[in-house]
Amino acid sequence: MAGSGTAHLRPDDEALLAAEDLVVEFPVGNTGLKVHAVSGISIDVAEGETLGLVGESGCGKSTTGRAILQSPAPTAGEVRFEQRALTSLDPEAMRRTRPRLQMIFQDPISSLNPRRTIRDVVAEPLDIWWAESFPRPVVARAFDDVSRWIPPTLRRVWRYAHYGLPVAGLAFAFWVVSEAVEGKGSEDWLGWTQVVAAVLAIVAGVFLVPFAIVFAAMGLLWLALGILAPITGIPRRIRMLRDRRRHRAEADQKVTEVLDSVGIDTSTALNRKPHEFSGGQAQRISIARALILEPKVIICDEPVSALDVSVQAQILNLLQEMKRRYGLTLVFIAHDLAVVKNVSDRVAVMYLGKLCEVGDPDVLYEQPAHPYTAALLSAIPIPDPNRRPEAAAGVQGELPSPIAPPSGCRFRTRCPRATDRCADEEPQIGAVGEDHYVACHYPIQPGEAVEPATEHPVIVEPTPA
Amino acid sequence: MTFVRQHVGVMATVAIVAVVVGSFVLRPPMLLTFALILVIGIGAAAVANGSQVLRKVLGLIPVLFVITFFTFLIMNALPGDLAVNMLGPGATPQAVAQIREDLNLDDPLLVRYGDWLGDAVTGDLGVSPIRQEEVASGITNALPVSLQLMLYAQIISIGIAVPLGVYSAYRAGSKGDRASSTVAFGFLAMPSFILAVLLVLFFSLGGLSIFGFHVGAEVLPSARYIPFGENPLEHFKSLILPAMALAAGQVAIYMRLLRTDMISTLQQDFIQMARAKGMPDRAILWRHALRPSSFTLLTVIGLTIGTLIGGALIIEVIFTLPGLGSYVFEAITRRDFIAVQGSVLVIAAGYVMVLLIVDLLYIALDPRLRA
Amino acid sequence: MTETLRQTDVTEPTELAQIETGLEIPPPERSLVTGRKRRFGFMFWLAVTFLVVLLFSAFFANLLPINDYDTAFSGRSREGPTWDFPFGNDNIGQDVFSRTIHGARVSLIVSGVATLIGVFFGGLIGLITGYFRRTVDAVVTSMVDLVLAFPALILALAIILFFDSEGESRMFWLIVTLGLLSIPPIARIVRASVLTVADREFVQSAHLLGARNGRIMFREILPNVIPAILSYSLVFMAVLVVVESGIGFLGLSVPPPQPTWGDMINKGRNELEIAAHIALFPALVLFLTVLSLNYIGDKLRELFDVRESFL
Repeated sequence: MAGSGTAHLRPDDEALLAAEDLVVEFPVGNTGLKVHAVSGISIDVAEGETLGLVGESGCGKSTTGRAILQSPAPTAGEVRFEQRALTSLDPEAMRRTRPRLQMIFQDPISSLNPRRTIRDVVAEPLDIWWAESFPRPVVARAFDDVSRWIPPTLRRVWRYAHYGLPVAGLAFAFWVVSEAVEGKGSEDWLGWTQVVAAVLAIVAGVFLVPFAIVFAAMGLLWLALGILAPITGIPRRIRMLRDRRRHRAEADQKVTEVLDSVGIDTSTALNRKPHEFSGGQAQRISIARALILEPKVIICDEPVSALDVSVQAQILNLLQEMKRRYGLTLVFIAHDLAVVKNVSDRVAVMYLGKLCEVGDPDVLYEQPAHPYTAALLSAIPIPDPNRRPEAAAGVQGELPSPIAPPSGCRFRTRCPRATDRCADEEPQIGAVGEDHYVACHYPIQPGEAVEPATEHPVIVEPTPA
Repeated sequence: MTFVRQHVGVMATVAIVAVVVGSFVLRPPMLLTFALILVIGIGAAAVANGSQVLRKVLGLIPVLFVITFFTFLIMNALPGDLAVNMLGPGATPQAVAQIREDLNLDDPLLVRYGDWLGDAVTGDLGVSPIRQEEVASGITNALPVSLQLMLYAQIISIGIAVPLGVYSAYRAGSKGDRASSTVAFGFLAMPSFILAVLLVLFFSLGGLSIFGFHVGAEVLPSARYIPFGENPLEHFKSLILPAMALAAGQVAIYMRLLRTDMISTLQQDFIQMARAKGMPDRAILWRHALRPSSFTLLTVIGLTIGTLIGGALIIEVIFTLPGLGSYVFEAITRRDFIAVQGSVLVIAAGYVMVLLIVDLLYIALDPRLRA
Repeated sequence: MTETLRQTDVTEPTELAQIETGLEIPPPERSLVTGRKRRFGFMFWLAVTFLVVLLFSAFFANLLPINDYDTAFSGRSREGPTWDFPFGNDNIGQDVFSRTIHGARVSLIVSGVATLIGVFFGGLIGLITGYFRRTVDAVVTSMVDLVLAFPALILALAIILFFDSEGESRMFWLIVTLGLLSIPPIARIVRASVLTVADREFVQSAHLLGARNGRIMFREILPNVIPAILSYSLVFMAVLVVVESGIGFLGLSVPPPQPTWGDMINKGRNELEIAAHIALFPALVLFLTVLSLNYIGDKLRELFDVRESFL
């Protein structure tokens, strides 16, 4: 199935957050190969909605979540938030937008600074933006700008200058030869090797000396600004110090409020460190921290996968309640379709960096159109002793490598319905029902049982409970 | 060809050792030996791993440039006139003028550096006006002494550290392990020159009388060097105390490193598997566990060798061994800039080369590192 | 405090599960020094005491009721240890004990300040390169490696001798040279430490909260890196003590009349057979200083490693 395809996207003014044709690729070491983590995903979320993003480990869903938040920025594609393109914002503007887009991580304890008390951890967003409310001196801002501007500039200059290196090497080689020849006393050879060496050296100098000058100049400028910036920032620090008490009182109140709302006992917890809490509690703290800036969107990256099953339910309920109370929009990333189904208003199924199916969770559950979705569903264990075990539940085989994904439809190597067309042509996403989209050449029709094109085992649709 | 590919590391090591031994015996120009080792090493690595190797090698050249250029700069940045500094305050104007002419001190800095570098690459490191001899031959004479000292020190330290490290890892936490760890820690804290002084005291000067007990003997020489060719036994006797002084600190480092790595290796499943198969502990330790645990150790050994190419300066001075360390020290105290310049080049080149070899060996030994 | 598991479609509940939610918060950790769990041990405090005493005596050397270090007590040449002269007298009758204490000043000041220089600048460099990586890292790391390829001792000696041939400001040059030479190795260590921390999720989340790079570096990464740096810098200081003594041994540290450990040991070499105490007492104090610094640094490292394992 393919990701190119924006048929499922809603019109701009309806979507609070939208990603179009996202591509994220990482280079692999020095080999020149690339990991195609995300290849053309388009999804959107309407305000107040919860979008569930589901798929196997390694399908790129976490990467998608981070790419949406520009952390790191995607290789290609556009992300729009409140109708403004995040991908084209400069880093400073993006930073100022961040309070409205928050994230919760999979491992709750490691997402909290181990050396801080949780009061500090939850208050940190408030502290950050309180500090930002005091304008920084010109020098400091100049320092930031210069720091950001220097590396790319140097890289650009170097791209022209590095040709000087081999020339210099040649010059040196000729010089060596001339020295060696000097001993032998052959005047002609000596003469012309020296000339060649000198000429080459000058050429190399033309390339390299400007670079050296630029490098030195920039280095000095950067150092000078770097030393001046903290000094000129002293008045600002003094102002901050004076306001500190008021800010702390205000922050403490907010921290207590939000920690209470997530169910942490603030009378004893405030001065503890993260590792003193259980996984579930730490996740609550993490949620509190994300909430304290009153964001519009929270991306939950597998927030319950690392927790005990009994605790999962609590956290899920907490998220629902917080969503209601704070008017949030959620993107819920998980690998468990059952978990996602219960919290989402809309579900998108991913496979190996591409989108398979998008639609209402109940519809997906009852009538999955994509063979992969059907396979995922059939893998959910249903604890009913009266049920007979299905013939062959789940998906066969292993996830192909994202470095060299299969051509055409990426699922075809594990799909019972794959044909040659699936290898040649990438399926585009298209509607198969009311608000139900799929990217497949042979989507499962309602009432149809999945039949193999070859000798693959039959995947039987689960009958409604 | 595939045979060569598979055994590249071993073959290259053997070839290099052969060249080193051969150079001890045949005494060819130093430059030739260096060049041969370089070519063998690079060739071997290129066979194993093309462009990765080439990039590493090419990366070294600027390093050598910069080091020598900086040394040149420092020498010439001194307050006062270079010629006068060299000859000392009591120099006559004629001597100063002579030196200025000999060394072309009136030429601009870059040109002088270029000249020196060009000469250096062909093996001519200049003539030391203070020692009245060619720097290159002075270094060539001094280098073998330092190398021998280093070799014996390494043999001693590896010979003690490896069995001790293996044993400590095997019996981690036992009394023996803790005792040897403590002793190792103690040796780490002992500066080599103090140990050297103590060794001289107890083995060369007859020792001490402590509360009536006399400890020590007068067995070994402490202030002379006898080349191997002259008298092998005396040669070893003259080098054993300095080698021990050098080795002590290294033993501690190596032992701890090996112990740490070995403990984590021994916790792995494949060791349990070997045990379950009934393999005797001794075989497991030495044949299966030692190899994967030795990577860090090898790197550190390589680094130590690289550092010691400069000669263990203080030890050589204490024992008056005519090695590279003594040579450089004397050059520095006597303001022999030419000799200092040449020595720095040789030492830096040696260090950088050893690092390169260690890097390449690493790649050869650990297939995971290949591109 | 218990809560029943609410019914969801995740699993079909066959019974009501009474589960402790774990919302109670465990009691606080036990105190570092007095608690039973983690203790430093007797040797540790012994080492600390030794260093404190040494530091104290060195700092207040001029005020202590000990002999002047350059008074030659006639008739006491090469005398062994006695009550009046705990470390004995050297070849011209000077009090070895007093000289050792004054010698400690040089070693401790030089190594301490040089380490501070190294930690400050090396730490800054390591922090910046470790955090920003890519271009900055490549450039700075190659420069650092370059400096590391220099034969350090030789360079130090050369600089000292060439710039301060008369020995007038030897202490200054020693501190400057050793300080500059300490920057690359410390930068490397800090960088390695920062690299392990910079990938952790709390750093990412700080970034996502909108924190500036500077704030992330100094408020998230640095506090997590400091413990490791602290223990390493103690060990590094021990190395510098040895280096300074070595330079003194070669006669190139602060010139007489100021006593230095290295110089005392060197001069004592000539007297080894008859009056070994002249060389051995300074050597012993040097050894104990290095040992203590190493030990404390090591123990601190152990402690902080254990702490990390909580995560």
